[in-house]
Amino acid sequence: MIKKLIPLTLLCLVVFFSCSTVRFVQKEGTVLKVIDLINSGDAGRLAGISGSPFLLDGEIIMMPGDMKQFWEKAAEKGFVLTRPEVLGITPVDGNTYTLFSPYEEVKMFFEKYVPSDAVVVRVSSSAGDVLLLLYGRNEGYPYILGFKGI
Amino acid sequence: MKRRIIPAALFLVLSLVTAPVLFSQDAEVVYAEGEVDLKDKNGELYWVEIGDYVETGETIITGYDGQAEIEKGDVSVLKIAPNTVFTYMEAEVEGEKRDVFSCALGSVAFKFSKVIGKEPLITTGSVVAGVRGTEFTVFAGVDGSSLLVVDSGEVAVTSEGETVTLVREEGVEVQPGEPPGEKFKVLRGQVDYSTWNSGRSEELIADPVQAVERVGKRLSFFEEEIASLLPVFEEHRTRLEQERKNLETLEEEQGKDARVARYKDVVFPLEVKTSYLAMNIRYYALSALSFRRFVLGRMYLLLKGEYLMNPGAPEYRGFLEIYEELLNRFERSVTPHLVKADF
Repeated sequence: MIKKLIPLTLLCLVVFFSCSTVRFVQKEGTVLKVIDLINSGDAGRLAGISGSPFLLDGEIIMMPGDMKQFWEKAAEKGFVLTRPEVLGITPVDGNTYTLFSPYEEVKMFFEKYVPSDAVVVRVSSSAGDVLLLLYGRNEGYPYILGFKGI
Repeated sequence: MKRRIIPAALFLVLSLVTAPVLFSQDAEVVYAEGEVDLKDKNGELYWVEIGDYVETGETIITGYDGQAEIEKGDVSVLKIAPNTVFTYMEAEVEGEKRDVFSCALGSVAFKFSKVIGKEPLITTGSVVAGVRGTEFTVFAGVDGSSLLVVDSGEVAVTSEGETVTLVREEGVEVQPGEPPGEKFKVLRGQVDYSTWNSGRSEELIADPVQAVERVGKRLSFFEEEIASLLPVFEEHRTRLEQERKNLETLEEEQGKDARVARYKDVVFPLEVKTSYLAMNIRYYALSALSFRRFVLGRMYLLLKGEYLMNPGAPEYRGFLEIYEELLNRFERSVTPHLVKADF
């Protein structure tokens, strides 16, 4: 019995480790959780899930701490996205960078720093449309790699 | 056309840089605390640890709680303050290869106990400084302006073709694209970077158009330097290719000794000159990238936050108009001289 189980266990382990990179699917609910963080002005949590480097519109933000400063400023200014509606969740591809900027450096940002399972989410709100570049998950929230809008 | 220059230029630079005895040593990290990252030549980011080496072309980025100290041989000690971007580069000046210590943002304190050979150049986005056995601090502000304060020795600060020489307990502020301001007296430890930078930040928010215009002037300087070097580089590269081909013919016709003599007298000096030209094009392109990323980019971030609820404000629109124009220019005149790892 045990001898029969060994090959089966090995097979399971091989399958498990070959699929060890878990690909998180971004759903509307998790996107809205990010919007809630923005609306509640939780700059600390937003900074915690913001990637570094970060793409803000067409700017590659390299300095650690800069995005925390930005989210704090957004909260201080009362920036909110009321009546948010997820218009679309699209996997990144070779041309996604053009949604943020037409320039080569942003193309390089996508090639170097954006995982293939990242998605671009378009959200409409009372403040206008925004784009979020999201991937993976951390304590129930996706990582934010980029933000564009307003 | 321009894209083909980079591999050739890199090859030439690398082939000479691999002669370690002739050229500079790496710098060693002797102290690191808090968040200290190193961006290597491949563009990868690493945590810095004590004992790591910083090679030419590499950048140290400290976070709000990060600081580091690096030593180069036994002649220089550099203290890198929190929230600073420091790059170790090389450039050719008057036919000689020189170390360049560049502070794009934040502050770095330098102490040179002695200088062997040519002294290094110290740069920020807006100035170039030459040192002579000295101890001083460079501050690079959020709007691209610089402040240099000398504790001992002498520092020659150059911007827009004008030079001011500072001695002990003197300082000078330089706005990007402007000549150095008036020298002032300052006591050791009297300048606080945070206070000074807050002042620069307030000025930026009060007049974003003026600030971005100054940045534009400084970017123009880098663009012009690249543009002036390119045809000279092309001419040298073409001549070098031809000379290398000629060597083969020469050996067939006049023998190996003639080839060796021609290589020594003509080809090797041409190789050195061509590699220096390539190095300087890279130097100006990387300096422009650093200025664009850590000055113009951070100006954008600050102003975007400031005007989130009022994006139609005329001063912000004015800033954005010039900003977009600068990005366009950068894409056309600098990006072709950069490689993926640079970004």
